[in-house]
Amino acid sequence: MAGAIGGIVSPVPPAPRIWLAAVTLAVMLGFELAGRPLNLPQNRRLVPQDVIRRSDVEGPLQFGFEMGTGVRTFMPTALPHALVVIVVLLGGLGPGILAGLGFGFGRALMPLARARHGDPAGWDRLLARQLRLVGRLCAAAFALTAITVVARQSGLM
Amino acid sequence: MIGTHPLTPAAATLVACAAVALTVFTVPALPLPVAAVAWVMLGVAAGYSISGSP
Repeated sequence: MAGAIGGIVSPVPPAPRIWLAAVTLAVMLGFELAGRPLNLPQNRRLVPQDVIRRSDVEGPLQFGFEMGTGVRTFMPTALPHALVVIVVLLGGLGPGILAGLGFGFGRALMPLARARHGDPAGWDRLLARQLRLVGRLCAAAFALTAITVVARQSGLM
Repeated sequence: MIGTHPLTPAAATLVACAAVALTVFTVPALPLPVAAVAWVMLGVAAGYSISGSP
């Protein structure tokens, strides 16, 4: 969806879009790396478990869609917002689809790592304590990758 | 059968992030479009970062 919205800003010349993206991302990621994520709008609700039982196919699909896409969940970081910013300003439909696939894979990676941990309950306790560090590490990876994208778009790479 | 791992959430994240960084910075040497990989990796970092939410 962000990729499709990116088409609206495509008439804007690349230079202003690159600068706007660079400044916006620098502010957002600066707060993330400092361990104080910006308090941006989000749907702070959980998908109710009874959604799954509503039907054999549609219920689990709705649960997976809402949870997987982050439509209805709690977001401890603002990195999904940063992802929308960079896709809208510098991406487009193709990059938006690729970023969406990566987002889904990233969403699945954490529960998979938890499931393969020797003590999943212990994992939950540790995660509650390390959530801020996890967010900072993800912000660092996001920043490195975003720098690559911005540098490439501006012809530096 | 796949065994279990002893990594803490932070350590597992570090491994995942190192993989992201390694992929992004080594990919110019590979026959893959760097931009495509970078877009996927941006999504992975964003998706993973909110997956610890309750």
